[in-house]
Amino acid sequence: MLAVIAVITGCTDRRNESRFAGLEVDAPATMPDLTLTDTTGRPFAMRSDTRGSVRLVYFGFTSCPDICPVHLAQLSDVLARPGMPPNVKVLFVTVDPERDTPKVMRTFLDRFNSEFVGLTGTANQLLEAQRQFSALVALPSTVEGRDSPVIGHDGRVFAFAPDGLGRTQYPHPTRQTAWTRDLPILATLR
Amino acid sequence: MLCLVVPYLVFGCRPPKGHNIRSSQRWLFMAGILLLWLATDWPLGLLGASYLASAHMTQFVIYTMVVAPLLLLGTPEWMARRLVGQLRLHRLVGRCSRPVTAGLLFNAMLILTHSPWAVDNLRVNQFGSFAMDALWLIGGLVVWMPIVSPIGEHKMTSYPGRMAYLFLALAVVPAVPGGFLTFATFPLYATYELAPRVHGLGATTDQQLAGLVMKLGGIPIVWGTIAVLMYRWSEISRAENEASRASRIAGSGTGNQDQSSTDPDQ
Repeated sequence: MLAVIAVITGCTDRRNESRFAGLEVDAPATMPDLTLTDTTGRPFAMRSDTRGSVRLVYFGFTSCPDICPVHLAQLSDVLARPGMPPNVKVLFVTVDPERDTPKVMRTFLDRFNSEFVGLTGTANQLLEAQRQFSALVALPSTVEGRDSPVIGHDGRVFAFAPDGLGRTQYPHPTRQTAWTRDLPILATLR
Repeated sequence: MLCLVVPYLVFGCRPPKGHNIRSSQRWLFMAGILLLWLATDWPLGLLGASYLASAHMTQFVIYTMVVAPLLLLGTPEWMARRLVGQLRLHRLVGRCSRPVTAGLLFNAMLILTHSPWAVDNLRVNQFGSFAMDALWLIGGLVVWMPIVSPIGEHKMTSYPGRMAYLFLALAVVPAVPGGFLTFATFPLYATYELAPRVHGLGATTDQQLAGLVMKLGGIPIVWGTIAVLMYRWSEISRAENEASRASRIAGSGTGNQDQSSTDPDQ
C-alpha cells in the first residue's frame, strides 16, 4: 500500500514539478550561430557575440500593433527590476526587413531599452534564421482599412541559457512574474 | 445613461401639485450625467477598459465620489419617493441607506470590483465592463445616501455621525486596497499588464498611479464634505447657543417683569 502511495505521489510530484514558469523544452537544442546585421550596420553573430549571457530571441516587426511592443515592454520592465541578472541580451530580429531599417529599429527599441539588440538581414537570411530557431515563418497579409500589411509571426520569445541551450520559450502573453522567476535560473545554467 | 435621464424627464414633466424641480437640482443632475458620460466614453472609458489601471481607477473615483452624490443632490424628494414607490424598493432602499449597511456594501463592492479576478474577467468584454460600471454607480448611490439622500428619513441626522461615517466608509477602507496597488511588487491585473503601453507608462508605474488615485482621489471630496458638515454643525450649534442665551435673557427679563408686576412697590 505504502509503495503504491509512494509511486503515485512520486509520479504526481514529477509531473507537477517544473523548473521554469515558461514552456520548458524537452530536448534543448544549441542556439544557431547565424550572423545578421545590427542597428549600427555591423555584422552580429547571434551566439558568439553574446557568449556568457542569457539570450532572449524574438522575431517581430516594429509596426506590430500589439504582441511585439507588449513583449518588449514586459522585458524592459523586468530587466529594470532589482535582483535581475545583468547578463541578459534581448535580440529582436525583424521579419519586415523592407520597412524595418536599422534606424527605424533603433528608434523603436530605444523606446523600451537602449541595450536591446536589433537585427536585420536579407529576406533569405531572415527566413533561414526563423527556420533554424524553429520559429513559425512570418507571413504578410493585407487587412482592410490598413495601408501597410500586417505580418503574422511567431509570438514566442526563445530563451537560451549561457550554456547555449534553448531551455524555455515564452509565448504571448507572458506575465512579469514568470520572467522574474525564470531569468535568474537561466542565468545560472553555464 | 438613458435609464437615468428618461425617468428624470418623464417624472419631471409631471410633478405633484405645489412641487417642482429647482433649477439648482436640474443643474446638479445634468452635471452628474455629463460626468458619467465623460467617465464612460472615449477616451477615459477605452483606456480604463483595456489599457490603464490608473484610468480604470479614475473612472471609479468619478462614478462613486462625484457622479453618485450629484445625481442624489439633483433629485427632488417627491421624485425619489415616487420612483422608489413605483419600483417597490422602499424597504430595500431604506435598509441599504443605514450607515453600517451602506458602508459595508460599498466597501464590499469596492474590494470585489478591484480584485484581479473581477478585473481580468469582467473588463475583457462589454457586458462585464457594463456590469462593473453599474455596480460602481449603485455602490456610489448607496454609500452617499446617508449623507445626501433626497428622502429625509434615509439621511443621518447627527453631524458628528455623518462625519465619522464619511471618514470610515470613504476614506479609511479604500486606503487598504489602494495601498496594495501602490506597494505591490508586480502588476496585479493581467488586463493592464499585457496591454500595449500608453505613452511608455510601465505596468507597475501605472498600477502605483492607480493606487494613488484610489487613496488620494476621493480626499478632496470626502474632506471637503466633512469640512462643510463641520461648518454647518458649528453654525447650528452657535445658533442654538444664541437662541438658548436669548431665551435665558428673555426668561430672566420676564422674571423681572413678573417680579415688578408682582411687586407693586417697585
